[in-house]
Amino acid sequence: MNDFNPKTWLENYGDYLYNYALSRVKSPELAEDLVQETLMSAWRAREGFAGRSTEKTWLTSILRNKIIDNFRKTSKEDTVSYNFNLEPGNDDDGNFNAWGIWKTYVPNWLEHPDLVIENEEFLQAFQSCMEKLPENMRRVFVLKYLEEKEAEEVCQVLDISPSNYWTILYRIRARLRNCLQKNWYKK
Amino acid sequence: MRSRISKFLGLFLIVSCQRYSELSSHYLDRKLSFKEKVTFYLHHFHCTFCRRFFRQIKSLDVVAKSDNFKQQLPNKKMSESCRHKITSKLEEEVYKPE
Repeated sequence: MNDFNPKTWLENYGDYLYNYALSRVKSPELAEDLVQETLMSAWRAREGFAGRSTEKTWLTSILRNKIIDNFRKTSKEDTVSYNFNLEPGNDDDGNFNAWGIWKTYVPNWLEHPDLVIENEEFLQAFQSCMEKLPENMRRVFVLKYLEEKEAEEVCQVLDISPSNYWTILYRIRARLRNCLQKNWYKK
Repeated sequence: MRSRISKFLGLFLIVSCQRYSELSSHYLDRKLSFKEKVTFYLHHFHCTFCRRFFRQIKSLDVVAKSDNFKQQLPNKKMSESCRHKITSKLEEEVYKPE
């Protein structure tokens, strides 16, 4: 039988869970609320904890579910809109001229991921570009890349169509690339 | 030869760099249709800037999926007021009569 002490959870894992939530949701207040809900749910479900994983892993998996539930709930409630201009040919990022040709020279950088995958500076720049994404794009990014969800599940959670999903991913990639070119490559 | 054929086909299947950039992103997520594939490759072989764009978003995709990126977390502290709030909520819950 485990000797549960939720106050110890808060002391030992509070900041870790908070940072985990902050890496996925934009608002610090929401991150704090999610940590609180996680610890309360963990306390209520303590009998179900079989001890097969560590307490930290167990609490993290509860938090992950809370984050996804929050995305699902707020997407259904329409507090986050996915109805921005997704028409093919719309160029929000200003990369192309009226004929759809690159406006400016595309420099040759990021030829191969191995060149940057262990570069601390690049990873930090990538993280800060990700944080600049608008909420709707950020959620798609979090579910696809950080939570490793399949396309079908992302569409279901966020209540969007597959073609919206692919277009949003295109916009995310274009933005991240532009942001890294400006803030990392040109620095 | 390949270049002459692709130039000939290109007359019918010309796409802009913008359309190519959309297709190149879709290429990473789903199977392209036959027509999309032909237009994608015809443009790919002719446009250096677009090839660079494709390599860049492909690399970003690999980095975003890597453990190095995923394990990067912010290093912030939870506010004291939140800690107090959670502690009192937990106390309420823990000492609540069954």
